[in-house]
Amino acid sequence: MAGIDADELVARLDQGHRMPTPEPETDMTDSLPILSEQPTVARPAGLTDLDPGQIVDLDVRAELRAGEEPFSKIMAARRDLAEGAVLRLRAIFEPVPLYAVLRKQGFEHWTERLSDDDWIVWFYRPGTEPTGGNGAPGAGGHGESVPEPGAAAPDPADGVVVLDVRGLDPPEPMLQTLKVLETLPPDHTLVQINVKEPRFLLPRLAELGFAYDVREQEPGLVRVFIRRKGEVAVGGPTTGNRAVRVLDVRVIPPREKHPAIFETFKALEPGESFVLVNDHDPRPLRYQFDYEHAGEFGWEYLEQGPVVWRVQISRVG
Amino acid sequence: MRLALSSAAAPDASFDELLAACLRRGFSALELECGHGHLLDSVRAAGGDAAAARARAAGAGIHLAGLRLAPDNGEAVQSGPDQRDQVDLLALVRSLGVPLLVPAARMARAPRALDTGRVMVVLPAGGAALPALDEVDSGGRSAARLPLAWDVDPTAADISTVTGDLIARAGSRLRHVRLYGGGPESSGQEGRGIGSLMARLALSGFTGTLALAPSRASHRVAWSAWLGQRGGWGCGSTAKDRQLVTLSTS
Repeated sequence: MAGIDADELVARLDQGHRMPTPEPETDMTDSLPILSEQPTVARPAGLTDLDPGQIVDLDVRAELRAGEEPFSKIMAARRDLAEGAVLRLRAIFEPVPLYAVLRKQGFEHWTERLSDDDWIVWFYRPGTEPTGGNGAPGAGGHGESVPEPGAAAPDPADGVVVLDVRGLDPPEPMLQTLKVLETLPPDHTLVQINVKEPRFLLPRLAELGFAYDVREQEPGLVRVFIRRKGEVAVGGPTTGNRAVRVLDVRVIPPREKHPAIFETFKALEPGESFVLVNDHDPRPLRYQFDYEHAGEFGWEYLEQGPVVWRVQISRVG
Repeated sequence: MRLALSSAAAPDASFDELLAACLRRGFSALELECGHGHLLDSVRAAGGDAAAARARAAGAGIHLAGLRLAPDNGEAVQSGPDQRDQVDLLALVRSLGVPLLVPAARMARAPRALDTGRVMVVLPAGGAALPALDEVDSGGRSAARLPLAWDVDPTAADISTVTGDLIARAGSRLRHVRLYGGGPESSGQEGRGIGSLMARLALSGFTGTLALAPSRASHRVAWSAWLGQRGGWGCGSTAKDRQLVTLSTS
């Protein structure tokens, strides 16, 4: 990273925790985060040019291992964050429920998975990042030029493909995006530039096994970061990419729905999640979760009708 | 996982009527069976155009999940353009961009299909599924890599005894499940293991297709009403000009 020696950064991250310094070929400062249930993108440009003084580190691994709840400590750190500063949180699992909480407070995130029980999440306010090389916030922060509408940009060495669908009439934006995704190389990110959130595309992406992150840069300028997720072997989670777990209860007999949902929830490890698909708002289910698993779950609507409801239900550690 | 409607739920419906039914009921995918009213596999279909059908499906946001051989149509895989009433199915699935779903029992009669990379082997319902998988895997390395589909019929027997073993054995090769029931039959299938099936598929990270089809032909009237079609499916399927058939979500 500019101005910061990579080995020094790694040593600072490991400071006081007696973590083994990774081998040079696994230098995490240059690695893309491995996806779990949360979508991710290449490191935003604004996070690669930070002055060390702009980074507020908060390591809650000890509290979590001790069974304590660090939420108030995290919120306090967020409150005290100076303008332009970044909160860098380290935890023993991916703090999925925090994403929605902090998003509501205006924070985006970028996640790094160092190991199964070692995660770093960068929380930052979008729009305060330094601009890219061309003077405008880059789609992947790489300063690449915006291609002609409907044309995918040539694949640069850093694994980002840009597809500008502004100016295309429906359903061309979705068709073009799905077409590019068919041949998207492994470990590459497709960035769709759109005028609005592609509401019909997003559920299709989840079903096709893609993760996504929608960033509204400004009214009329939306970027959707799309990346393929790996498949998971039957019988348990992998140590690498984990596919989205989708529980579609529309086909389950009524009296078996809630048992199936709770069976799936109880099989999750802390930090894991699944997407519930239903044909109506599962609000009664939410009440049951509140009653039986208060403080143990996260609940985020991904789609709210009118035909299909999707809720990401996560298990909080 | 994506939820698909099988054309078996409306065998007389045209392709566009099937798309409309998918939209009406929130299905994100469509499973096609040979010999049904969509006519994509019939050379006599007026204006039949696989590429155009594929584009219409994509435009509606509906994924085409596969083309399934009818139960007595295994020989069609070996037929070529010289079969008068049947298009070359392998060419058709290439145009549609879908796999051809072939029952495991018929694979021996379709050696040509094995090398195309377009075939998905359908394991039968019930206790015959695991022995069928053994037989497929004994067919050599190319057969052992074939993607798998699985028919699940909870109306015939409790599926709980087979579900766990089959999902574990098939692993990521399992790409398509046809569930007989669901939809309007759902409330009558309690205690048959469907909830457990769905939970196990979710936990295994299954990202394939779950297609719903009627468990009995006698249920088709109920399916037709559930899909929003009063009376029979329209005559648009025989219209020469497919532009006259429009998607309707009403």
